[in-house]
Amino acid sequence: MTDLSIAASIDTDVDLAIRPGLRLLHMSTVFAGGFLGTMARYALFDAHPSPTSSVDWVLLLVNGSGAFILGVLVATVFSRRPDAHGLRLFLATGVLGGWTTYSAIIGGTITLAHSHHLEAAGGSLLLELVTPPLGAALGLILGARLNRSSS
Amino acid sequence: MSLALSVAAFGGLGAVLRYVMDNLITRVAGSNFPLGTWTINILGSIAIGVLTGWLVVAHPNHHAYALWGTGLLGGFTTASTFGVEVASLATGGRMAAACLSALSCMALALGGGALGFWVAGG
Repeated sequence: MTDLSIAASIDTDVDLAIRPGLRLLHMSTVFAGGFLGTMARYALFDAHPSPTSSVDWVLLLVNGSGAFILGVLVATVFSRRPDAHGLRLFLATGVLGGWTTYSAIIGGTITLAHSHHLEAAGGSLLLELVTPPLGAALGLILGARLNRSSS
Repeated sequence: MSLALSVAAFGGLGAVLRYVMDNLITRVAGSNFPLGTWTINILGSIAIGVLTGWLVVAHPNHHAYALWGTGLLGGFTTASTFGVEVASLATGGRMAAACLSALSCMALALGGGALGFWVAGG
């Protein structure tokens, strides 16, 4: 369905044995995207702090939505325009990479376990493990359909 | 307000660090198995364990945790790229590799994070 080589190169630039100036431009692009994605996530987390005894639905929504949107992008824009490095670095590596987080899953699970909410910790870890790949798969499938219907 | 901007800047730096590290790992290990994001998420989780033990439990500091945890490590680690990599392995007919990637990352991240938490005094 989706070419593995596309997904394997989401965050990488291996084909670009690049000039220092270009490398700086790429890093600035990633920084700008990461800045925006993190700012949005922090605003949401600040307004809805992690619950101390149950599953963090806001974190689940953040990671699920980010994986879904990236799946759609990979199957549509990025596969049609594999040369659009800047767009991929800004949106995928930057914005969506900054928006989603893996460390918060582990931090939340440890905090729940530390306060003796073991069931919530286990349940939340399971949900958090399954949601990003599922969201991404839905996005990839929907994106592939959009691609077919528009071509 | 300035804390939000600082957290965002730390997140941007985390994303750049991920970009550089992913490129280095992929250059060495190849792209047959997505090892870059896998390694990054485990390293970031060990670090969040240390930060949680240190800045949440032992010496609570909300400000520093927001900067280094929510900002830097949140921007460094990613669930979107990881989700797409796992889903691509699965839809590409490599279901066993997909499950191995997701489960081993979660197990090592949690184990490493718990160890970091304990070492940091949590």
